[in-house]
Amino acid sequence: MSVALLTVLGVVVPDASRPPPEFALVQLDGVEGLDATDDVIWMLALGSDARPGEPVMRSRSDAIQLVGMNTVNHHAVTIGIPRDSYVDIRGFGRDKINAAMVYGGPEATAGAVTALTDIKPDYVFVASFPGLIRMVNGVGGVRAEVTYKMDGLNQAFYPGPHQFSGVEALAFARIRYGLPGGDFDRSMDQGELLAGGLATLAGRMRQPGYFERALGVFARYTDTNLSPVELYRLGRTVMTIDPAQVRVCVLTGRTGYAGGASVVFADLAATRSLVADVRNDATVDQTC
Amino acid sequence: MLTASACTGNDDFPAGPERGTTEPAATSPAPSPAPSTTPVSTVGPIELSRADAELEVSIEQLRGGVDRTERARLRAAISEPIARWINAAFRSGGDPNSDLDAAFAGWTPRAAALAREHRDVTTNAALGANLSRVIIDMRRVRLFVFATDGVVGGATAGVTLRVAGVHPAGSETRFSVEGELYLTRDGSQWQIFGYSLQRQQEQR
Repeated sequence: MSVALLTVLGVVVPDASRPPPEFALVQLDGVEGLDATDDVIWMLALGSDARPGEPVMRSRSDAIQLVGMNTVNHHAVTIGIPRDSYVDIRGFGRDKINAAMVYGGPEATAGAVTALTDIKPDYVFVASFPGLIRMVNGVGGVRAEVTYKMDGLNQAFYPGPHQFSGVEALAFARIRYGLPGGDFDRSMDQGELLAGGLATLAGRMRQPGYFERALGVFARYTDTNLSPVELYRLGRTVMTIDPAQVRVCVLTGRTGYAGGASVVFADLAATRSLVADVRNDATVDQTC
Repeated sequence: MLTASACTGNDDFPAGPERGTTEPAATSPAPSPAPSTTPVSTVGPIELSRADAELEVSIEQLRGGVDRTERARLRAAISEPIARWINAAFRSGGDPNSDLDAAFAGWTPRAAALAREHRDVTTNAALGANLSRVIIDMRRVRLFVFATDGVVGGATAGVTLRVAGVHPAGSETRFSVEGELYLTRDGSQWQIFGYSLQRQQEQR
């Protein structure tokens, strides 16, 4: 684990030839890199709360989505983990899971997610606010379903399908107040954005050369310890997923307090049940 | 930068198609029939002795800081497993089932196994073994290459094949195979690790 972390942090040295990084993609230890024999891949997608000047990979992760992809049947599942989930963070005690990245970077968050779900991600992907905006705008917007009327961060959304610009997508992923399920509904919205983004990309792939161009831009703005070959294979693998076969799930739980802070206590029985369903095939056979 | 319009300072995510410049194909294209997947009628005697078309390979897109002088070497290296596949799977006679290992020698093991299962599309196996000759009327490969910081990572090959199988009685079955192959490097060797291909048949 430490090798991968050092590699990534070592790359975050200002380089005059490259723009400031807006994404990070970390391959964790325990896998030999993606090849065609990997039937199921798990990726932890994190949205960093870093403000201008703050380190993207040492800020709170306010979007936490564990994404499983089955390269054989082309199904996928996104498991949203409420950011206020009160969990064990190895070496740092119990805290909200979004604090793990502040304590120990993306790998600490991956460790906390693994402790909670018993699924070890193969990759961790971290996006900053500007990175998310760039990505969404770059693909021409992302279409996703708005479930509840939402108002905040200078944006308002109404129930029904919506074509999100980058700024709107960022607000949609961050707004919690007004949602009846609070943190849980926000995690659901984040998963819907991921699914919508995949569908948008899948449509763009019909243009010859689009994949290579998009991956080139992504690489330019991303710190990663993946080689160009590994990055290409991973990207191609992600694009084998059928957008119509993506299921959006959120871990359930109850809200409460810990040390005076509002937190979420995960429903461990429901978590175990969902994990048992999807761990080996990233395919939801039951409800979630 | 090797493409005309998409490389002029635009390094944002591409929302639309890129209009690229195409370098000359690696070989001179041989005369080939007009692209068509609809049945055609015979208008004259079938020319059974026509030669196979040459393999045409062009790099349509190459970005990411790769030196322009690398184009010829890259084109040759990437097209090598593709050419091997076409020759063994479609050109080497009427029964590719006898030599599938050669057809998929340039594929990763998993991709080769899948391609064997799809041999009706990935080879000319669907024509059967009783052909007197197979003629390739078109074999065209368009390469879109991914690179970053001057290091090449992978490529998509757009493939168009037009094949004619000549039966002993002189009748001819034509089909086309079109789609994409996905390739990466294993060291200096390029391998096909995925594909999306369609086959359409004509009768005459």
